[in-house]
Amino acid sequence: MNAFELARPKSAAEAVQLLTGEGRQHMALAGGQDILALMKDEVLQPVRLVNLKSLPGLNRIEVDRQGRLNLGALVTLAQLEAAEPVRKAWSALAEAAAEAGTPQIRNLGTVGGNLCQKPRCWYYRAAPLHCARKGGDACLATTGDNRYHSIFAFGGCVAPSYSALATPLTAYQAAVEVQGPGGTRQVKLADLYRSLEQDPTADTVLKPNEIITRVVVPPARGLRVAHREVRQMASHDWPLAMATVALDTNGGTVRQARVVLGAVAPIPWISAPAAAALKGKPVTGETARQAAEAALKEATPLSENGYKVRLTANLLRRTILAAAGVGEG
Amino acid sequence: MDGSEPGDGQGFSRRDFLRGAATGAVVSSLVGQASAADPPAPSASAPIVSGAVTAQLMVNGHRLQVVVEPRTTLLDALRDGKAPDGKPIDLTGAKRVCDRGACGSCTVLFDGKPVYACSVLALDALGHAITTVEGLGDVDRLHPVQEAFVQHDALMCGFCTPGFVVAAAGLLKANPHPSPEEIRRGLGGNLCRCGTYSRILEAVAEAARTGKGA
Amino acid sequence: MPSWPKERRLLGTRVTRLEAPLKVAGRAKYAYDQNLPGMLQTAVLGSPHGRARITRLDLEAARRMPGVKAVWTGGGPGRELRHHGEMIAAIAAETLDQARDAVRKIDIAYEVLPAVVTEEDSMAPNAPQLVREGNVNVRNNEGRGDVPQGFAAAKAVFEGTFRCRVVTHCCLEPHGAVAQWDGDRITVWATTQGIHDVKDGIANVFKVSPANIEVICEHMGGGFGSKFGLEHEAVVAASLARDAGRPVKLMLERENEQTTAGCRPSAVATIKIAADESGRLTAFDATTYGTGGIGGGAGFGLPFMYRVPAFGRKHSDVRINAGSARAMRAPGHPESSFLMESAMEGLAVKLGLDPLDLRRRNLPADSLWQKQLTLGAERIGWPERLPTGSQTGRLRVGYGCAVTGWWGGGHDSNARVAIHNDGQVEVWCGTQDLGTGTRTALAVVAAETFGLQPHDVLIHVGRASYPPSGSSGGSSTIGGVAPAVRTVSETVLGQLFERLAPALDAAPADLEVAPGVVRVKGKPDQSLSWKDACARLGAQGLSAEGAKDKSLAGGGCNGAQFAKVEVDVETGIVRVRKMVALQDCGLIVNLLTAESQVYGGVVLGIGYALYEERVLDRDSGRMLNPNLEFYKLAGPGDMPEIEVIMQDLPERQVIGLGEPPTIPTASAIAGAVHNALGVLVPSLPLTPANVLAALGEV
Repeated sequence: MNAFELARPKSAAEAVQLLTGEGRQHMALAGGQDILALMKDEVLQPVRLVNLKSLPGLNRIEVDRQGRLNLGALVTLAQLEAAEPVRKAWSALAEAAAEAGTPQIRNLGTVGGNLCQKPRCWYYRAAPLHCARKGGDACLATTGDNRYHSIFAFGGCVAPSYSALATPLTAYQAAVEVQGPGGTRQVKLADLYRSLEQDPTADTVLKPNEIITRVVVPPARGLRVAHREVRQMASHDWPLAMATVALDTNGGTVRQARVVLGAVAPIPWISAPAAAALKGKPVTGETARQAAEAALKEATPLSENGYKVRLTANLLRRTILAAAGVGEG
Repeated sequence: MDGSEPGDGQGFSRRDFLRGAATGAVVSSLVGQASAADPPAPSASAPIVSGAVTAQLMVNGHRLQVVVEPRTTLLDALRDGKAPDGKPIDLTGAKRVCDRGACGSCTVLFDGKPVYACSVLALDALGHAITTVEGLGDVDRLHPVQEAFVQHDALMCGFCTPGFVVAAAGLLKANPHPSPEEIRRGLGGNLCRCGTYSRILEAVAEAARTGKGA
Repeated sequence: MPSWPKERRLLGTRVTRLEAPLKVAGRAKYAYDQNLPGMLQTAVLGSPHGRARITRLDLEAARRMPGVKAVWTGGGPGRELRHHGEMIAAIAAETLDQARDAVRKIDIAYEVLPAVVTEEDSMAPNAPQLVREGNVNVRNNEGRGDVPQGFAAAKAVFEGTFRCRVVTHCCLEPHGAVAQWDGDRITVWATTQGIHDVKDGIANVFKVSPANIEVICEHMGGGFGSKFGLEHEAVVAASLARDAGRPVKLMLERENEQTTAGCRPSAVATIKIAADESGRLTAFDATTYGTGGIGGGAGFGLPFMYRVPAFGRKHSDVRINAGSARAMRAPGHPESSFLMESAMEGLAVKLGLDPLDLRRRNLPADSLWQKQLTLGAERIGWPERLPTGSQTGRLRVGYGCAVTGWWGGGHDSNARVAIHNDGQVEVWCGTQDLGTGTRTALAVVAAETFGLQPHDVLIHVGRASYPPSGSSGGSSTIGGVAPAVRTVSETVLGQLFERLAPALDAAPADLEVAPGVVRVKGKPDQSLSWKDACARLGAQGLSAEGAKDKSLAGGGCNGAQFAKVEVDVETGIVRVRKMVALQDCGLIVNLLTAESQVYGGVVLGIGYALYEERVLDRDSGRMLNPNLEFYKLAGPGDMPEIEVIMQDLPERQVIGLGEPPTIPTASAIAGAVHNALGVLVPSLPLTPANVLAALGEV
């Protein structure tokens, strides 16, 4: 790790000010579970870390009067996993949090950090390799060993989105509250991530001197939601695929569906074809299968990850059935 | 130094240090600059810290002064750190194996919860109670989890063992009567290469059964 | 003449490890844990490329960095680097951060050369030549009997190609050492499987008299075959320490450990195998290759444990741009087992035979294997096994089995044993405890001999100044050190009897020990307590040093393992539900630690079967997973129920145990997956990608 200075702001506004680097690389430190490893590997070499953990009030889980779930950006994954209101009303989020990382990671890793983790690609994370994400000419995984990478194309980089929370939060249509020099703004989860083509220098819409302060999740009353993932190892392992399915049903028929896949695309992958396939139909083994097939029709697997297509289709089918509560087939 | 002896033979008695009475509400803080050559001394409220500073950590119930930089991890402070007078901290129970939060060998308790000491900055431990494997028990006064590991032969080379012991102690503190599945999940952040898992799971179940895990 | 006791009081019982309290309390000091006064820390620059030539190397800026005290380099411009991680330079400084900062200031440039990282690329006619001897060493080395006739006479012939990938040792304590010079004397704290080899190596490299060298290894964090001899890291540490005039610690970072500190070679075999009506093998023919990295060797035996009257084989060792192989727990054997047992699985289908039955018919009828196969089949529930390929559901259950064998004969060993006049027994042996429980085994043997408790005996191992003992490899330690301690303990006991005979009014030959007492045989009231007996020894006590009596060690052990798995055909994920491991090792010294060895072998085998693989990038030649995140090690959640059944056969003397239990695990699991799916998954590890591909789902 290079030497850096550690700033300890007292307020979000001060944090933003301290992050403003004017050409010097300043970065935010929350739980530290991703950034410290990247710094040890010399993939990131900020000259200043702005420690957000001293910010007051960002570690609270609250349900507001509109029934929305408010998660401070510094809420840990362990807090989220254990919080009664979350387990009750946004259970897929609690389940996803419980599956993220390891107990040790969940005890320090934060909601904000989980959403902002850097691409977990073995080319990106090898400092001597100049992949496109690091300003190089090409995505090395596309032509290299991509067994764990994306099967859905989205703008050049094929590192899969591994954020355990982004998948369910996108399905719950959550938004993040972002604080920057000009005050706060809200960004929908569905708009948070940027492709390499959209922005070669950042993988989210956050500017270097912006921080996530809160995540706001709309009430999920009436929605049937399930989250499932496939990991090769039962112990700590990055998922091969994740799926969150949220169904708004009326008398057994799907009124609206939201289908989000994780670990298979560079961003949480919202499958419109799968949602469309479910709309207006009852959830059965057959309609679930059709929806899953519709989702995977868009897949463009790489040289080494064709196996993820069937695996993801099967996972999605099971997740749809689980959301509908009709058994997992 | 003879590794079979718990003392360290360097004029720094770790055993006495560990056995001293735990003090109550000690607020850890930055206590000043390490050398006059550095910029003016920051206080705990100073907005920016750079270069070497002396930090006061709360480790195993004791105030511990250690010279660190912002980039020094808690693990490195414990293992390789030195007090302002140059004496090594020498708490080498937590091991540096992957140094990337993947193996669990450096697990310590952070306010009672297991964390990877390699993935926490030492300066981020200010104000928090740190417990290392050395603080759980000593050779002749083992913690129940440690005792169960001994009895069940839940160790071989022993390099992962401190991490597992601390993770298990943290698990039982939060959940004194875990199911076998909860034990597996609770230890899911730790790896062993010798293959002691079966006996680790037995040992932790045993420590939980006797109700003395926490 | 020394012998093992006919009635065993401690041998074969479960004795907890002497050093366990130190280890669980975090007080055991490994080489990595040394904090010597004035000690420097070292950072290493490893090659970032799979293959490159250094065109510029300027260390001056690095030397001038704060805290830097010594710099080592293995050569500058012109030097060809042949694998990722290959050590270029090492810098010792006051702190590790300072050493790393200095490494970042090394001014170096490379001419990147095309790297070759697959066996097939390396064997291609136009492949770049990686070393002067050439990339491929073809050995037409084996053959016996009339192979064409064997195939012609067969009822069934099976042919298939199977592949084992390279896996790394992943020692949790990385390779490295702490070195301290005091004039022309040197002390090395090593993490090693052979303290005497380290000593010998230091003497040769640094031209130091062995009398001036001490090597210390009280505890070590895993070797698995990768820590023999004087390691490069220790040489560099000692050089830096000499140059700096300060103690130096050099422990590899994980990336360098994974790329440079050893691996198990790959193994690929195209096998043709045949059997007659009775299921007896008639012929075997194989074309095989493997890579041991840039160092070359990738040997493994075929046709493994089975008797085949006619066989032929052509093998190639292939070099690639990757770290060299080192011995890894049963070198060559898990590979041989998987390749051969896979072929046996295929052949069983062709013959319409239960695969267990096929194994039985090709192993000696009077061998221990037959009994083990019977017992194991019962414990795993073999009768519940459905015919291969008969299941149609999403989750399919399968059963598999495989056998193992190993020599495990003991190495040479000496020991010194002393009895003090307060009754304390002390043992010195220049061996090292790898985590196998060597220290405790010595205590069991001494305590058995003297009528004491193991935890009352003081055991000293892990110093090269102690009586010489062999390196810990080939499962040879227990058969070396246990006989040595028994032999010398019996010598000392004989001396004790000589001394006590007058007091007990009996001939020395008529004396014996019982727990806590020395007494006259057949006259239990004619006795002295151990303490009283020893009190008569005077200030000098008794002691003796000597070599082991070879008759106390045996060789050749058998085992079998059974696996029950569940495969999700929609995801390709394999979960092992149960393993049964049956193992003999002759006379068991400590049942508790012997069982742990078997558990450990099975767990390593589960990782080999399902998860582990060194992944190299074909373009850069870099290892893509030099970490413990994408190099997948099984964790607690991946453990099945493991039933260990030890067979105690004391008449066969003491035999080593470390390696045999990891040989058949992956094969048994792969056989179970075959049974569940009805198709052979031809490549380890049995990942979702490989399983789904075998099912035609990719």
